[in-house]
Amino acid sequence: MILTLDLASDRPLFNQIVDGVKRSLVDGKLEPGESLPPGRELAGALDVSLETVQRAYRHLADEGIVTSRVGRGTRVSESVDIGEMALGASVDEIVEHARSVGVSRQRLIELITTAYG
Amino acid sequence: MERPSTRQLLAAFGVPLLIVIAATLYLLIVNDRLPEQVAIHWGGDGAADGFISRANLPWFVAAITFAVSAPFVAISIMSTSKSFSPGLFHALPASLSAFLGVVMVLTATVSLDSTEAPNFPTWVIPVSLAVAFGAGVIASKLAGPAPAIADTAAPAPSSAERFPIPEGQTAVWSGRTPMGRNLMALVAFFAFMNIVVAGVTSWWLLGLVVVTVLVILTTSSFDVTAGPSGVRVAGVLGFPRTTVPLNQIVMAEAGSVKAMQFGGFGWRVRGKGQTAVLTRSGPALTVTRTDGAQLHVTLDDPERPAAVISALLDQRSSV
Repeated sequence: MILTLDLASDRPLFNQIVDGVKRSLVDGKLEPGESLPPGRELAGALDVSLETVQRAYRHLADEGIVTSRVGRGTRVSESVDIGEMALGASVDEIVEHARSVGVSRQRLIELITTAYG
Repeated sequence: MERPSTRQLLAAFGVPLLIVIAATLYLLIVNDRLPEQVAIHWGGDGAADGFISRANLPWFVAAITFAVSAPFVAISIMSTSKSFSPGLFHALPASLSAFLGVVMVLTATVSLDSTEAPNFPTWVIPVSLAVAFGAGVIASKLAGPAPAIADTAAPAPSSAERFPIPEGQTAVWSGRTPMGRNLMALVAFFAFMNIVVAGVTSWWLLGLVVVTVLVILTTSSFDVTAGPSGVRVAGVLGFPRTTVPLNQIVMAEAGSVKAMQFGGFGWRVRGKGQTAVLTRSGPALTVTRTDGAQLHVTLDDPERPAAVISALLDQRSSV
C-alpha cells in the first residue's frame, strides 16, 4: 500500500491518512481483505503520533471501510464498496470546486439534478 | 570487518565466559555436597532419568554452555560492525549462556546434601528466563551505544526508478514479508518433531518447545514500511526491529537474495555489514547505508518501496 500525504496542508493529518487509504483503494493499490500497516509502524514511518493513526483507523472503521480485530490487525473490509467510495471522492472534489468558484449549495444541487436527468 | 571495541568484546565474549566460569566454580565448590550421580535429565512425570557423575558435572556444564553459546558469540562479534540491530545481537550470547548456566546450577543445587535425585523443580525455568533477560540487558548496556553513522543528503542514483510524489507531498509504502512455504514447512516439522520428543521425554521441555516455536513464528513475518522516516522492519509482535533513517540511506533497490547466502531464514547477519530479513529466497529490497552496510528484506514487490525511497531521497536532496 502506498499513501501520499500533504504534511504541510491545513487538513488534519488523520483526515489525510483516511483520504490516503481511500485513494489507495480507488487506485487499486489496496484491495479488500488486505492488511493496513500496524498503527505504530505507520506512525513511525510518517513521523506522526500513534494517536493520529489510531484516530484515522477508527474513522475508517466507523465508515465500514476497515475492520480491526485483536491478533489480526486492521484489514480492509471484504464488503467495501469501492465504486461508491470513488464516487464519494469525486463528489468531494466537485463540492470543493463549487466552493472555490462561489456556487451555493442550492445551486450545486440544481446543477446535479439537471445533469442526472 | 572492522575490529569490535573492547566493550563489545566484553559483552559478546566476556559476559558468557564469566557465566561459564561462575557456574563451573560454584559446582566445583559444592561438589562434595552433591550426590554421587547428579540428575541432568527428567522424564514426563518430572522424575530424573538421566545422570552424570558429580566429578564430571562442572566440566559438562562448562562444555555444554560454551558449545551452545559459541555460535551466538561469533554472530555477536560479527554484528558489532555495521549492524542493524546491535543491541539484540549483544544480548543473545549472554542471555543464552545465563539461561543454560542457571538451569544447570539450580537443578544441581536442589540436590545438595541429598542422596536421592529430586524431581525437576519447575520454578527453575521462570527464574532462569528472568536471569537470562537480565544478563542480556547488562550485555547490551556493556556493549555501549551503536557507532554513529554518517548522514547524507545526496539524491538517489540516476538509474533508480522513482515513485511520482506530487510537489509538497510525502509518501509511505507499507507491506509485509511473504510467508515462505519452505520456512512454514520447516517450522511445522520442527514443532511436530519437538512436541513428539518433548511429550515422550519431559513435559517441562514441551513448554520450552512451545516458547521456541512462538519465537520462530514471531520472526517468520515482518512488517516493512518505507517512508519519510526511512525503512523500518519489525517482527509481527514489534520485535525484533530496526530502522534505517532516510538521512543514512544512499540507495534503495529491488534485487534478489538466496537464503543459503545467509545460512538460512529469519534475521540473519553476515560479515561486512550484510544483514538480511529472509522468509524465502527471491525478490528483496536492498537498502545501502552511508557506511556501506546493507539490509536485505524479502518482499513480493520490492520495486515499489525502492521507488518510494528513491523519490524521497531526491526530495530530501532538493530541500
